[in-house]
Order: sequence, then C-alpha cells, then structure tokens
Amino acid sequence: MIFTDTGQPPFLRTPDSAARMSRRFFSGLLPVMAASAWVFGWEAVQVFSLAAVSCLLTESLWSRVSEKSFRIHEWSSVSTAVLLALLLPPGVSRWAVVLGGVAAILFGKMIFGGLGQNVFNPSLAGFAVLAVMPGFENVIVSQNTAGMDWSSVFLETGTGLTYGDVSKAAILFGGMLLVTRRLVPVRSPFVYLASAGIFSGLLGRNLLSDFIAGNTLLFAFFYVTDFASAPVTSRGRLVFSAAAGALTILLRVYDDSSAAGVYALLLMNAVAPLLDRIPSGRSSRNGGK
Amino acid sequence: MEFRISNQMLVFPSPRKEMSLLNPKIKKAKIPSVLTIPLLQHRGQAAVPVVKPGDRVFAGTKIAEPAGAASVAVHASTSGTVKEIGEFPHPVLGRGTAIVIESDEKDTPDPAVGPRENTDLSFEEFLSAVRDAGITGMAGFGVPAHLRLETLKGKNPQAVILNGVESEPYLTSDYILMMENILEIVEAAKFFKRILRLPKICLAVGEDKLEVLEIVRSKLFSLSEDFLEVVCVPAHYPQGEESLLIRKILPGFRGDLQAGEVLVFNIATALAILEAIKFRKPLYERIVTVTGECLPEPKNLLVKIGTSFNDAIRNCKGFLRKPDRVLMGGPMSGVCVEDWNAPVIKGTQAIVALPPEDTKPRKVLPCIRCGLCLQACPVWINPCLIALAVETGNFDSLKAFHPERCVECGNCSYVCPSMRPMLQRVLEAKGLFPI
Repeated sequence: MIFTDTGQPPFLRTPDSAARMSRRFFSGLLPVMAASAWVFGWEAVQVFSLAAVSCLLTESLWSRVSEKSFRIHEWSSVSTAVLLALLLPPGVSRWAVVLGGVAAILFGKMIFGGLGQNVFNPSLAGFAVLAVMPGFENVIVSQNTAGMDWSSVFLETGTGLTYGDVSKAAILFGGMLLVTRRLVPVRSPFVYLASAGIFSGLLGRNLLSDFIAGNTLLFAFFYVTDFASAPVTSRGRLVFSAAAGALTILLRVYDDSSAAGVYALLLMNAVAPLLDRIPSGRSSRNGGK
Repeated sequence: MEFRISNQMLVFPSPRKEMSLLNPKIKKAKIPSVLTIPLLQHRGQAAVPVVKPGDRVFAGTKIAEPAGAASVAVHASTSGTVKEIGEFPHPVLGRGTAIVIESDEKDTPDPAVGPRENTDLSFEEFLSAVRDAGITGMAGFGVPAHLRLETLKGKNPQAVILNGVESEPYLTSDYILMMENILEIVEAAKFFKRILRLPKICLAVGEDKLEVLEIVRSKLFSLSEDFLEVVCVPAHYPQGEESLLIRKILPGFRGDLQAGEVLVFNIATALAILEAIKFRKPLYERIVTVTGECLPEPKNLLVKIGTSFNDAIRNCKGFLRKPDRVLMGGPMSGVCVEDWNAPVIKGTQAIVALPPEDTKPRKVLPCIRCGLCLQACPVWINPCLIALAVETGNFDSLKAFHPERCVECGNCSYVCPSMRPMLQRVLEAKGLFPI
C-alpha cells in the first residue's frame, strides 16, 4: 500500500475521500429506494439487500483470489448493486438479482482493475450480461405506455415498470441532492435530459411518454453521472451526455424498452476515452501565448 | 446553500489565520547571539563575500557583493563580528554557503543607513539602489526585485499591482503589515507611480481582509489622494498568484506576462523598496508569521534575516507539542524544512509548525476520474490526464496538455479524494517542457 508523501506540498489535504464520496452518492439513492419500498413493500427491500450482498461477496472473493490486493470499496459496491436492482422489473426471479450482481462486479468492474479503472458502468454492464443469459430475457421490460397521463407521474402507485421507476418525484429529489452537493458532474444530467427532449421532439415522438414513462430521468441523474465510465474533461462530459441522450431516443424508436437507455450508455462508455481528447476551450485562456 | 452551475470549483482551505492574530501587533524578535546569513536567498546566483572572519560589522553593512545579473547584495542583520564563512543549513536548498555573525547585542546601525536627501532618482539609479539594498521577492524563494523592474525598461508599463491578497492558510504577515504601516504603503505606491511613470497602480486585498480595505480607503480620503486603486478580490486559493491576479484586476489584459507591461509586487517587497530608497535601509529584517497548532503563542515577529527557525520559534515560547513538519511559507505551496537550525531568509513569509493530525500519511488510491482536479485548477489544465500520461510513460502525448502553464498552486493535490500526488506528477511533466 502506498501512502501520501507528507514531505511534498501541499501539506494540507481535503478532508474528503473517495470512500466518503461513494457514501454520499449512495445517500442520493435513498429517496428512490424509499419510494420503491413504499410501493413494492418488503419485496423491494429483499431485492436491494440481495443485490448488495451478492456484489460485496463477489468483490471480497475476487480480492482474495486475485494476486493484486484490492481494497473493497464498500459503498461503491453497494451503490452498484442498488443501481442494478433499480433496473430490474418487479417480480424478477431472485437468481437474476444474484447473477446480475456477480456479473456487475466481475465483468463491470474487477476485470478492468477495480474502482475507477472500469470502462463501462458496472451496473449497466451487469444488466447487459444478465439480459443475454438464457432464461433471463424477461429482465427487459417494455416501456410503451401510451395511456400515461400527468396524474400518475409523481407517485405511480403500483404501476411502476421497474424498481427504480416508481416515483419521478423521488428521483428528482435524490438527483438534485447529488447535483447541489456537487457529488456528480453538475451539468451532465441536464444536458442528457435536454438532448433527449430535443431529439424526441425532432423525431415527432410523444415527449411525455419519453420523459415520464421511460427511465430517462433515472438515467440522467444516476447512470450518466458515473465518474469512472464518463470522460473527465468538462467538454467531453457535455458531448458524452448529449450523445447518450440522443442515442437513447434513437434506440427507443426501434425498441421501446428499458434496455434502450442501457445500451445507449454502454455504447457511449466505450467511446468515453476518445471524448477526453476533445480539446478544452478554456485552457487557451491562460495568459501569455 | 450557494449553487453554481460553473465547472470551476473554488478552493477554500481552512484559513487558520486567527491563531497568529491573537497578538494583533508586530513584535520584535529577540536578537539571537549567532546569525547565519546565506549568500543565496533567491532564484539566481549567490553573492560573493566581501568580509572575512574577525571583521566588525553593523546592522546594514554590506557583507557580500552581487555576482552576475541575477544576484543581489547581502547585508549584516545586526552589529557584531564575522565568525566564519562556510556550509550551513539552508531552508530551501538543504545546505548552502553562509556567513555567520556573532551579535554584540547592541544592534548598532551602519553609518551608511540614513535618510536619502534626493529621492528623485533616474530609472538606472533606482535599479542599482534596489539591487544594492539586496531586495528580492519576499514571498517564497523569489526572484531579485531589480530583475523584475528591469523588464519595464523602455516599455510602456500599464500597471503595477501591490499584492496584499495572501490567500494561503495561516499567513498573516502581509495583513498585519497593511494594518500597521498603511501610510508607508500609500507612500510606496506614490513613489512607484512617479518613478515608473505608471498610468495605474492598484492595491489588491482579499475579501477576508475588509478592515484593511476600510483603513486604506479612509486614509486615502483624508489625504485627499485618489491615485491608488484599491481592489477587493475573492479570498479563494490561489487568488494571490501573480498571473491570476493580473487576469482578475485587468480583465482585458491579453499581453505577455513576461513582457513587463504589468508587474505584481508583494506588499512586503514594495515596503522594502521604499525603505531602501528613502532611508538607504537594506533588506535585513522582515515580518514573519510564526504560527501553527503546535505553538503556544503564535504571532507576527519582526525577525532579523539569519535568525534560525529554532530561535524564532523560541520567541513564541517554544513548542507546545512536537510538530511533524515545520514549513517555510504556507501549507499549500511552502517548503518543508527538515533542519530547524536553518535561518530565516528574505522570502520567509511564515514559519508554520503543522500538527501531526494534518501530516498523517493517508492511503493513495487509484484515480476515480472524478474530475475535481480539473475543476479546481485555476489555469484550466488537465492534471488528471497529465498524471495518467506521466505514470504510463506516455510522454509524447503530454505536450498537448500544456503542463508548462501550471502555476504550482497545489489545488489538484489538495482536492484529490484519492490522495494522489497530482502536483508532483504535473511538475514532472512540466520539467520535460521547459518554457
């Protein structure tokens, strides 16, 4: 284990830490989980805990067998687990939850070298692996809800399509908690939403259905904002979120299901390192030449 | 709660300035029996001694002549006899040649120090007077003042900014100087404006020092002067840094910072220049903030150059508990001093005894690509990708990231939640591309 060299400036360091940031990110998920538990009751709590146990066990087992010693990032893994569970439809088999958790940690995070090194968002990677496994096709649910109206928007009592999609109010509340505390890139969610909205309008789709019925809002605040799988420069992040939003709507034209957002984002994750290469406009502002 | 959609994150390290302000006056430090005066106290060449062991010197006697362009004279800080010339501890360089003076405890000033009759100097006379007085930048291991002034020669200077921002934690020496010597600072500004024929001169003060702002404005009002523009700048770190200050105060300025159209002088340096011109007083003492959680009585001391760190700390009743690190300068961009027998030099703004809880080593974790270092960087470079390129040995791609623009403020390391040594990586990259 390497330690900070305290003989080098700066001698003061931030009181924050990566672990604390993951814990605070998790706190933004709590309203969504609470809404889910309110609607689905004990079942939702069981699914969340099962996913968390599965992710943590996988990570600690991997840490034990791999030659490099990995640090278990407890809360980051719990967040991954919950983010995966939020994508699953209610009544999903418990095996899907367990296998999804294993896949998320193994194929989403650990084979790339652990936290921060992952190319893909671990929960989305886990979901994608789960969806192609034989027998688990039913994790993808259709989102074509033509008869949707505004009255069922804020707390869709019982009509939620996935565990995460029960209350837009809870998603907005948790998301704004993260944004105002600057725990996620501040602009990304809004750029994603704006881009999705513009594209939806251009293609002449039902805006209400795209925003409210689908998991667009959930994705904007909790999946697009993942640090490790997004570009690191501000301009890269803008392009990343805008393209992800547009791609989500485009995929929905062909398949109006919860998987559209997942595959759009995974595709953008793959090109994120390239987006880092977009020259930053601000650096030329520095004095001199 | 303030919510900003901007991508720049303002860094506010805990200020900790109140400690040394419990004694809100400048105290004179006790003159130690032995002073070690290094021959090199700035970036550039060392001076050459003109005294030999056994010589009698007074406070302000020249003991070393400048050698080379980037060199300034060195003066005795107190009266006494030259004991020896040799290798001694140096706060920045580790070890360096120094002249040791044994004090006679009378502190008699040199007869050459006294009011100058004619302060209406030509530019060349002004430069040589500044150089003879041994004046260097007084914030950190600085550049000789005459070199900075020389860049104005034959140019049309736009402005001089007197820098009283002091955005680093712990430091209060500039603040206390402005509180006590505000008339001299106004006089220094007037002198600069006259001798350099400036269209504009500014005094920049941080938002956390509003009382200074009030005092300067009321003094200027009662003197019915309006030549000095007093500017209040935000107090986030590193607002006191030169290029950032220029950009803040002269938003339209797009010129070359090196071309000598705008100069930034530390308050202490400006005052030292005024004293050198008005009283022929060379730079042999300065105000040092001696502070830190490990000291029972932090205060601002008027210290003779050459007083050892140990002697300076003894003026604050020694250590309360043993510090892990003693720094020269602030904790963000200061230097760690290993040997506490090293002397106070012209650039020692502060002696900070950091408590062990701040210097506790923390685990370095892999980068999580949070992008905080990019948001905290005041010059908009990309420490994250620079560090990645350095660590993977991908040196070819480095040039596009412009590591040479780094101002070495340390914000990237400060904000990193994974405790990564970002500043050191950027400096490695910067070393590959000298400007």
